[in-house]
Amino acid sequence: MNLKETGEEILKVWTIIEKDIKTYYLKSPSIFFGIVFPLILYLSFSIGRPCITEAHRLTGVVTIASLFGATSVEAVVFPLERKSRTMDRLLVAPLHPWALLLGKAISGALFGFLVALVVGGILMSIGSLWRWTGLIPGIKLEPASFLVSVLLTAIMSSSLGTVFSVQAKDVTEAMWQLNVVRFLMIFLSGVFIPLEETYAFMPSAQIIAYFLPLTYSVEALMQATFGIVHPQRLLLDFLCLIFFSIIFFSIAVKIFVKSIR
Amino acid sequence: MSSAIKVSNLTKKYGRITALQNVSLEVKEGEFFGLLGPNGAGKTTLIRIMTGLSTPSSGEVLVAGHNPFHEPVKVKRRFGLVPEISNIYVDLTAWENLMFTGKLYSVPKKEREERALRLLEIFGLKKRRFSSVRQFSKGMRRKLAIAMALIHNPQILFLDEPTSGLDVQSSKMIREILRKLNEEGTTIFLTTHYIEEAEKLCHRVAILNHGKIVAQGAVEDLKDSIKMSEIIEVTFSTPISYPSELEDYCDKIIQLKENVIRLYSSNVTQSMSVIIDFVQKNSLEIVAVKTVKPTLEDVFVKYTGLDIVTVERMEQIRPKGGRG
Repeated sequence: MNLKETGEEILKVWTIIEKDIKTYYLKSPSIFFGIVFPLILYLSFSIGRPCITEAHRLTGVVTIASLFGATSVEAVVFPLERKSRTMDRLLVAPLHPWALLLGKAISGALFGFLVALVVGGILMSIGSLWRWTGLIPGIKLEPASFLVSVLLTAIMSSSLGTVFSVQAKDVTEAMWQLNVVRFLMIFLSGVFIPLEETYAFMPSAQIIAYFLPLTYSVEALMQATFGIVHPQRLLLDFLCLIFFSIIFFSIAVKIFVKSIR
Repeated sequence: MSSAIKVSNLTKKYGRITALQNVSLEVKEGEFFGLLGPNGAGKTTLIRIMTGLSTPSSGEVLVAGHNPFHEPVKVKRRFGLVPEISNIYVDLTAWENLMFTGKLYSVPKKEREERALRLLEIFGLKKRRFSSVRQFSKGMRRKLAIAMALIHNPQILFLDEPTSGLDVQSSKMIREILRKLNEEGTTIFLTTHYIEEAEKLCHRVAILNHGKIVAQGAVEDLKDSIKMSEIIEVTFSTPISYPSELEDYCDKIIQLKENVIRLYSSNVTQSMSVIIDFVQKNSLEIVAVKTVKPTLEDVFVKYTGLDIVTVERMEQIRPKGGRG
């Protein structure tokens, strides 16, 4: 592919992103699973588990907002495009399957990123007020690291969502498959409860957490929000998130190409 | 004239089911080609393979001289596809749909906008260009789908049942536009089960039945090919039961209505005298007798083995008005 063709392909990717934003961001499953559901989960952890620290509550809700936001858009986009046969329109257009999928994945990632920023912003403002009253530990936000953490979490989540949605026949099928993975990750990656507590019953099992991408999101967000203690660890978290994103996206492209029969 | 589409020994299997079997056909540049066949014959499967939406089990396809599976991007720039179901983004406006498609085909902005306006005008949608497609009727959606397939000025246009389920005016308008496009040089590949539509529009047709091409050629040649059988249509004043006693004297008898029969015979004189004997013996009265020239419908009947009543019913499954 020469420079001109690459430029054209990038423009086509942007065209798909733009269209998906207009078409799918305001669909009810995107709103419910992307925004309402993470907030409900946050409230249930706030009320039901007062032992959880505010730090975990805050990073936890930002992580799941990004995770649910990005994956839900993918779970909506693919089945609806298939159902309305508009996927065929994209498939007969002169663009590579990876470019088509990249457009879809970026639109999901952007949604997850924006939702997580809005939710995180609201909670941090409330958190600052609480800090002023001396009720909770303070927030030492590192804006650049925070933005990168949320963005990489959204990209990883969107790629994961693409894997499970690319062949799904309907939104429900994509959502239930994703829910299994999302909830498993939430409970095994230390999203609301520190890993030491999660695996207190069997500390050696903590290794499971390091095979799950969300663990790196939580770790990165904790440092980015409450002060960077181990910069190398933060960098490693970023690299792991990029690695998982590439792996998930490659799997999704393979499944997608195979599905064209 | 070189080939716009060339399909050689194409077979498509879904597990144990063979959807297409050794299909071969060739469409010349600038030709209006029709693929006829009853529902489930494999027309959509063939069009999906030709446009790269499905892969063949064996055989070769060349579109605009390129293989759609080896050089997909090159091929896809050269054709437009109008599927049976209008696949439009209903949450977007007609204008947004056209712009989106134009961008996917890298049509420059100015050209894209000029072309979109012209297409909207041709299809009578200009006034509604900023309305959400959700508010559009089926006919309007189909017109927009065709306009979207034309935004990049393709050399070849694939249409899968373009007038299926449309009202008379919309069907007529679409046919006129397609005819004009073809006159301007666009190669058109159309699938339809409306035989009259194919007869009116196509230079050449192929008949697909149970996944096999059973006949292929120019419409007039195909009609000539079945001329060995003359067709006599007899209308009686009263309903009659199926005249099985005439079967020995003609090739085939079809009872079109309670009082109308159609006989296919290679010896008209003998058949007429047998009919007169039959009328006298059963004290019947003939209202009308006519010899019918073979139509494409007769060709279709002969090659698909379907009876003409089924074919006529098949053609009449069209809401809001029937044939245009």
